[in-house]
Amino acid sequence: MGPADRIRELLDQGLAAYGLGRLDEARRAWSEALALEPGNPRAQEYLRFLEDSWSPGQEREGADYRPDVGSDPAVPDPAAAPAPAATPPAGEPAKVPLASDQPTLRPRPLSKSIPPPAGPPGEPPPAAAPPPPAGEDFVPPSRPAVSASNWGDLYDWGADGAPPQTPAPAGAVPVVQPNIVLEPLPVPPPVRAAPARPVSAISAVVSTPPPPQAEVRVATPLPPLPSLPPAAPGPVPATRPPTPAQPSQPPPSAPVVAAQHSSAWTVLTPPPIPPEEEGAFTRPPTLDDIPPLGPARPDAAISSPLGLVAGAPAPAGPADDDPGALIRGARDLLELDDFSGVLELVEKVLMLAPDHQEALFLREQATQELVRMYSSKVGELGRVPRVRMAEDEIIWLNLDHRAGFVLSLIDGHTSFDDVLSICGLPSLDALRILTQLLQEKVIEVD
Amino acid sequence: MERILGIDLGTTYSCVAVVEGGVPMVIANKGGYRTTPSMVAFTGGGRRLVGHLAKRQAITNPQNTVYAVKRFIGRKWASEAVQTMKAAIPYGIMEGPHGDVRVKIKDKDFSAPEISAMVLTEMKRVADEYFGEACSRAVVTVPAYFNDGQRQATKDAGRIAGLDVLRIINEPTAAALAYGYGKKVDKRVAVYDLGGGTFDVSILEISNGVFEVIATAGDTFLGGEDFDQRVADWLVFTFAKENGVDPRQDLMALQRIKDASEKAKCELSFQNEVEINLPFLYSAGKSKTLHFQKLLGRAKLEELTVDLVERTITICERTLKEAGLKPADIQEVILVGGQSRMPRVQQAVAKFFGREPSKGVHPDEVVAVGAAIQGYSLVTEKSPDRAETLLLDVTPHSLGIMIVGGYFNTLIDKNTTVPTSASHMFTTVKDGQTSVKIMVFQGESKVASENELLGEFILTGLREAPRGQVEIEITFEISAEGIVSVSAKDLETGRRQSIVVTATSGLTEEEIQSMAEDSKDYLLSQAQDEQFDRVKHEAESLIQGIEQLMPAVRDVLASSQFGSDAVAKAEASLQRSKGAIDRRDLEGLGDSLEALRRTEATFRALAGRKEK
Repeated sequence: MGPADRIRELLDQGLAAYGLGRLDEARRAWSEALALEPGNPRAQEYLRFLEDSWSPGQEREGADYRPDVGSDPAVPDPAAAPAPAATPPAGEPAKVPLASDQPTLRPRPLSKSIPPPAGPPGEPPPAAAPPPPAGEDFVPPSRPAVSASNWGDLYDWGADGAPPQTPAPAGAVPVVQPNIVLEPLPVPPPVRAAPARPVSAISAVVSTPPPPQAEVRVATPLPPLPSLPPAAPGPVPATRPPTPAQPSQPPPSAPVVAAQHSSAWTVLTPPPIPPEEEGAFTRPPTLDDIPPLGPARPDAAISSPLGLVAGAPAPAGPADDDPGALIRGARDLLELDDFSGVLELVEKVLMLAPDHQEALFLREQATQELVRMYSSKVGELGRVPRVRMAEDEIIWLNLDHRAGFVLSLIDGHTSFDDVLSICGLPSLDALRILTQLLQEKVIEVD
Repeated sequence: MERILGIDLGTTYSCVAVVEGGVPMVIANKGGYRTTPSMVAFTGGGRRLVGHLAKRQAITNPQNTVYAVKRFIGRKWASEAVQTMKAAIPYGIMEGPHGDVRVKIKDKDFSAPEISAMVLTEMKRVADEYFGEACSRAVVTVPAYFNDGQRQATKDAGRIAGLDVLRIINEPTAAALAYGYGKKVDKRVAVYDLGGGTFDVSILEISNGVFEVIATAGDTFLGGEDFDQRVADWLVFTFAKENGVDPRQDLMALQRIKDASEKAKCELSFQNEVEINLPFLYSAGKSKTLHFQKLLGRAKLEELTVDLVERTITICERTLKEAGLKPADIQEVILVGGQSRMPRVQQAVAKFFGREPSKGVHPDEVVAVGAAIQGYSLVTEKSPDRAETLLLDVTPHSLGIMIVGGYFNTLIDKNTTVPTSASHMFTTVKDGQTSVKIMVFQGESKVASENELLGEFILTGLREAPRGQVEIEITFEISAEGIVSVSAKDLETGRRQSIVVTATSGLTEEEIQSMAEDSKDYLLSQAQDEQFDRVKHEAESLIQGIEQLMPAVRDVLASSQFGSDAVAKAEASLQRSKGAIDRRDLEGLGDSLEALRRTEATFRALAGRKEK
């Protein structure tokens, strides 16, 4: 791989990580790209944007995120644990190093199960608890390990959709709750490059890795995987022993949350992604960050007027009731080629102001681009696809009824063009479904 | 020798066949199907779909999918049949400028022959593609009960489709022709035709190469679709019971259920049980997608449709009775139409006629094959070793005139073999009446206005006399070609008036020609669109590749003047190509394509150099 490719890959990796809320990872990737090519304008722009949008001051003002920063021992402060440095080529130092004490934002891990300390309105939230010393076990001794026997308790969300409020023992350090993975990751406005990524894909980004001897026994309710069918019917894809290709010790940037299941330790991360699928997570968040075919969980589904179903809740982007902010966000996303994001935002604008000219224009532009991109993925529309997967495998896919309908039209005689004509769906939606079916290898073309 | 296509233009399915070297063969369409749904759909994108594609979106796009237009062809808007059917179809119909029926799709209206022409065009295309050359002559079949107007309309449809329709023949006759092809048959046969949308039963006398229809009857609202609907209703009910939701609320789900119903029904003709498997059928909530899996047994299907089968047998019974025959008088039963493959139907037919039906012909294809055989005989030189075929048809409806009180007086009964003629004497009804209006009707109702008016004329110059004293002879004649002429003669003065009932489809000659031109234009533009899409796809791939390579190429060529020129030229080429795509300019895009290919190859090489 040449330097140019490497740089492009790093830029793309950074974008993908950014889209998923992995700000540190994004920063590292872009820094590394900049180190390889000091004048690279894209890397500079992205880093500048990252710093401008998420400056330390801004972070402190972000009350949404503030209460938990550093207060959760399971989520150590990156300041305490320096992020792994970018790896510049030997003998060539990174030109734009990021200070290790630079504030780093993280997901709001405990906001549902452990509400932030309440303070009087207007007052700044209480100071964060000091981070635990390195190597400290995250699980307090008073808290029993979560095992298969109390698995159900951890799923027992209230009728109102709220998780059970487990009062922490006095003086006890809060523990990582299972619902932590269901919390949407904060995505910075206005660059919401998180294109409807199912939360399961990012569930691992919770904390730094526990030390080898740590016993973090947390049952993590993973929603159905968006892109890969489970190997076998069952409630949870729970047991997947480590393989040489999948080291049991996760990499620092992708710590795992583990649970004890019977006698074997089980890594509750998504199944290993084959290289080709893995690529989909490292490409720019434009085409390949395709929303899953079906909603990953009830509250994660967003149906746009176009019928697009996104897999994750709307990011904490521009205010939903401010067309100006939404349009600005849409413009920014358009510059970053996040056309799905543009559509999502302009649909919100059009809900507020149906005749908003710029929103209509942006919608048309984004739709055209997406149609073009999906068409390019599908290929020549005169080709005839056929179903590759067996019926008993198909049933385990995560499809919605529209994808099921499109799939039912594929009979080995009907071309893509004909499927588009007879499915009755808008071209964009139909192409998106076909692209996804192709990528998931549900269908194929000879 | 020129090929003559045999086309079975059915209510729900059509089929095309040809006789090649004396051997009849059915031509499959590009999907491999030997029959094609007689459906035409118009998509939101302006595309016209015919056949299976149209059928597969019929439920999800009901207002723009035209089916069973055969029920309207050649009929008057005011006719009872049209008014009855109007309520049963999801697409719009309206009265045409000549009192005919027009189908309204979006902001355009189409005559029934125009829609039928689209189906015929598709059948012609299937044959053209198979033979690699244009086939322009055909024999087309119609139900035996079609009147002259309906036959003429079918002929007009052929003209609009660019076909020279040599002959219109009755479907049961075609079936009997196929049955008797290549063998000497002297039998009285019954043709039991249970198609997709209609049921017909005809009795034919075949003797020394003469095929004579001696009786025909049917039900225009009974066919395989009714069987499908019973299965679909059962599936809907079962799904609703299991899941508490009505899948008909979602048209996509309903489309899949209907498709699955037809498929399951067909499979049950060959096996005892089928599994209906519809994954991801219905979304009940944001994340809950319901699957549907059900076993359907043959016994259940028979239970669901027992009354439909019984109805066909009742019609058979009535037809035989009208023809003065008993089931035992029938020496062979030919099954026609896909639904007749259902074992329960075959059992019922066997039980009624007291004999197993013939298995020698394919129910779906036999009519088209018969038409092809008829076409073949039209262009083949007569040879001593081959018996000449003579088709004798019957009048499908009674013919007569309106008499005092608005009643219908029959002169020629239905099922009378043509050619034929009949005369009857009438008198005046008023004192001093000097003229009489002769109104010619066709139909079975005793009330004249409930029958179809074929024409009218006035006989004048009658002598003034008290009522009942002037005698007028009315004569009906039907030629072998089916042309009806009616004359009225004042017996005392010898004064005579007559009309020839010319069949009309409801379209003028100019309209037919204009529609034929439109059809040609459409086919031409369709071919151009297909070509444009092919070129566009290649151009877009090249554009994308060039744009991806552009940064690397810029780096490589940054220092040379030549480089900036090359990049500028490439950019101009990209702009030209994109513009041509936006304008759908096939010629312009074709011109740009070579430049794009060269640019892409050059850029790839330059980018590779940078890599090294």
